Amino acid sequence: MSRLGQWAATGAATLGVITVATWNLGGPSSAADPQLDGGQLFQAKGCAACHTGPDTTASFDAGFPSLANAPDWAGARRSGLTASEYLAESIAAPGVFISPDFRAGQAGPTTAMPQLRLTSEQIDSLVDYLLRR
Amino acid sequence: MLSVLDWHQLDRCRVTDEPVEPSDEPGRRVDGRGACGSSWEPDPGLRCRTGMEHGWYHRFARLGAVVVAALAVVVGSGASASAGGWAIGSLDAIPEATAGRTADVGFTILQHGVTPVDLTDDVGIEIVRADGNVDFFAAEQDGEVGHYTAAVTFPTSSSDHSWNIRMGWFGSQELGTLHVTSAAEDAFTSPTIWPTARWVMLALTVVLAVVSFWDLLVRRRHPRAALS
Repeated sequence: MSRLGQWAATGAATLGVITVATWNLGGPSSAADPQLDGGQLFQAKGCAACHTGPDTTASFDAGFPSLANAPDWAGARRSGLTASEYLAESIAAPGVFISPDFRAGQAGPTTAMPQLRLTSEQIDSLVDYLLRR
Repeated sequence: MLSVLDWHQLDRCRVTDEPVEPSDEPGRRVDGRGACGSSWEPDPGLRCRTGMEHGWYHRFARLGAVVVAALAVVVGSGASASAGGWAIGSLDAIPEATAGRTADVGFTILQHGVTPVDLTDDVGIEIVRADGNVDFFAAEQDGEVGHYTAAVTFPTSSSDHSWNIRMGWFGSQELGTLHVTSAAEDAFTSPTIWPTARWVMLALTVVLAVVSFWDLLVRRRHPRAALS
């Protein structure tokens, strides 16, 4: 192999390693993407205002279930649904099943929680955050 | 602090100017020292003069009772108003916070978590910088009812700050930590730039691999004609 061939081979190998190592950097599945950071989403989307979460305390007590220990009970809340499935359903379609921990108090709402504008990836991120995965 | 009832009790004591006959009536003193008989009640001989001297005091007592009652009404109504008046703010998307840059931050205010609500005053995004200073970016109603957009200029220092949504009389809602990145860091991890860059790198890798492979083939077939 000539010197040029050797340089090309060395360059290809080096660049190949760098390309593979950084392939997901900055991409839509990147953990650095704030849109997919469950902890940030929990606050930015307003969840933390009503629900106590793994790292936050609800802004006001108006009868909303605490989600601080969701891994302990979410899997047993609805038969046939795993913890992930139950939480995902509660976020995507909150009116399907009303949590027994929900207390419609004097100051609280009389309806289920709002349906927020979230992508399926964001819902997955929120579920992972709540289940501390 | 004396309650309203206590103030009334004092007032009744004051007007007991006449000597009071001993009585067996429940609730009345039987020693002739007046209807209240509390330690505030002066001796009968001093009662009238003392009452006159302290007339200002009793007028203030009456005024105090009125003020206390008014405060109770105001506080009570305020508590019930705040109990029923709450809202949540929900960002459209978490912005890419690059130091010194401005981004439009959209959000929706939902009264009771359900009903979009239009507010006119004190609506916007508030950034509490790491050094404690506060920047407020007023938002304008934009599009659908209850939707607002604020042009937010992020701090020039790339570090962690906190930020809130201000929702008029509903108060503020914490949005947690705002991680501001430097422009260079942002360029390196930017979701818009990196996908292009990685394909360019892959293409270069392939080109270099083809060159080296071609060189290898030429060397084997024509050792003398190979690149040197």
